[in-house]
Amino acid sequence: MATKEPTSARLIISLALTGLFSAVVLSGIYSTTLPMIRRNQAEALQKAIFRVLPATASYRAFQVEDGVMVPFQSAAGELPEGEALYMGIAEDGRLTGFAVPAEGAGFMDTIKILYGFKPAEEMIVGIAVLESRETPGLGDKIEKDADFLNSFLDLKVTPEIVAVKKGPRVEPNQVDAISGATISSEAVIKILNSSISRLPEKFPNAKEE
Amino acid sequence: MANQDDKGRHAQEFVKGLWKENPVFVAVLGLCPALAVTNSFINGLAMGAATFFVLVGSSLLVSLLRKIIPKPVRISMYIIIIATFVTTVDLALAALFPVIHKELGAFISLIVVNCLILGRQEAFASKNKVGLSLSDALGMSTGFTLALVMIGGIREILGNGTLVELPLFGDGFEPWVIMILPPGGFFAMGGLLLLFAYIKKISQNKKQAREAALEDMPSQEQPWVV
Repeated sequence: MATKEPTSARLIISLALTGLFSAVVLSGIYSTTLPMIRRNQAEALQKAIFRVLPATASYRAFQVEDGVMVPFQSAAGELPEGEALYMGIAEDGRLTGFAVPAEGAGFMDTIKILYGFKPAEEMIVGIAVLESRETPGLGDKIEKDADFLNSFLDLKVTPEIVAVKKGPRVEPNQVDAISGATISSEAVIKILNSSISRLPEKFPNAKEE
Repeated sequence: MANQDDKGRHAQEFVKGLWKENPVFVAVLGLCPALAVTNSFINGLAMGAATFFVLVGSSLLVSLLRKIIPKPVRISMYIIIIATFVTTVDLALAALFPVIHKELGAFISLIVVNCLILGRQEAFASKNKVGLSLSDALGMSTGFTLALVMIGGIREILGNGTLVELPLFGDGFEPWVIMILPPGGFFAMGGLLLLFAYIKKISQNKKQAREAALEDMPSQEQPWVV
């Protein structure tokens, strides 16, 4: 059988059809798995609230509308869409702080974090990395390096959090960047600063409804 | 008669991936996942299962379409097909097994660049019938999974004192922590390669000894020799 050189048209059409077919299949699978993935993300976030706000027994969800925090009425397991905040409440009813989800560009892909915030003291009291696709062994240290994560405990956020690349951190608003992962470390700090600057002016008390 | 040959051929294509042409220990392919996510038996098994799904699916599709894929763009088309399966696995794991999805992390997406998969498409699936391509893919991915659980099992036993998360030793056991860190992957891999090379050497020596013994026998005792 003589081998005919395929025409350019044939090559283009083959690739286009394959790409089209792939896109159709993937959009189908994406929309099928989306509700389950969302539910898993909500569960992970809810568990993380207790990790970033020490001594919290329960939480109340709030939605941020026009810079004002509005209580969110939810069905079980549902989380608010858009800007959300979670008020942590200790066993004795006192306020433990607010868990704030934040996200932004990392080195590889979006980094999603949840941090615990005490507005009165202007301090971060805890941090958890919910999602990241940073380089394994390097950037993923933002999730695994205990020293890095611990440096966010009792971290002052005014005037803003600063990453220190050379030498140890000195001021209460400084964090040591991880060597070999400075871009990922600075991304986390950028995400935090940006989120804090957009927090609402007034935070409700634990007793308010 | 043709059926018997066929079955034999299928079995042959399947079995070669398990030992003689094992992707990890013989062809030394797919080392990135073999070293990175084998810090436990279950992680190794999960990565093996994900690769199994991608390789079998891709081989089936490539073999079905082998007559209409134009040669100049075949690699691009294989990659599109493989990437579609990989993304499917990624989304499925995120939806159904979020813990495993987090454990395997970025390495699920990296299955696309596992040389084993593209290699089987180019070397086999694009040139053989669907049935044989399926046997080849099943054998290769089973061999890959076996290799991964071997490495993962060794690393978990030595580095964590557990297997499938069940503690094996008493409280006195001091885990050899480095085995579940990256260097442990290299140690386990090196150890297994050494072991298999040794086994191969022994069986080769035995074979040579047998052949030498046959040659020494006087020809009357070898009625089968004409």
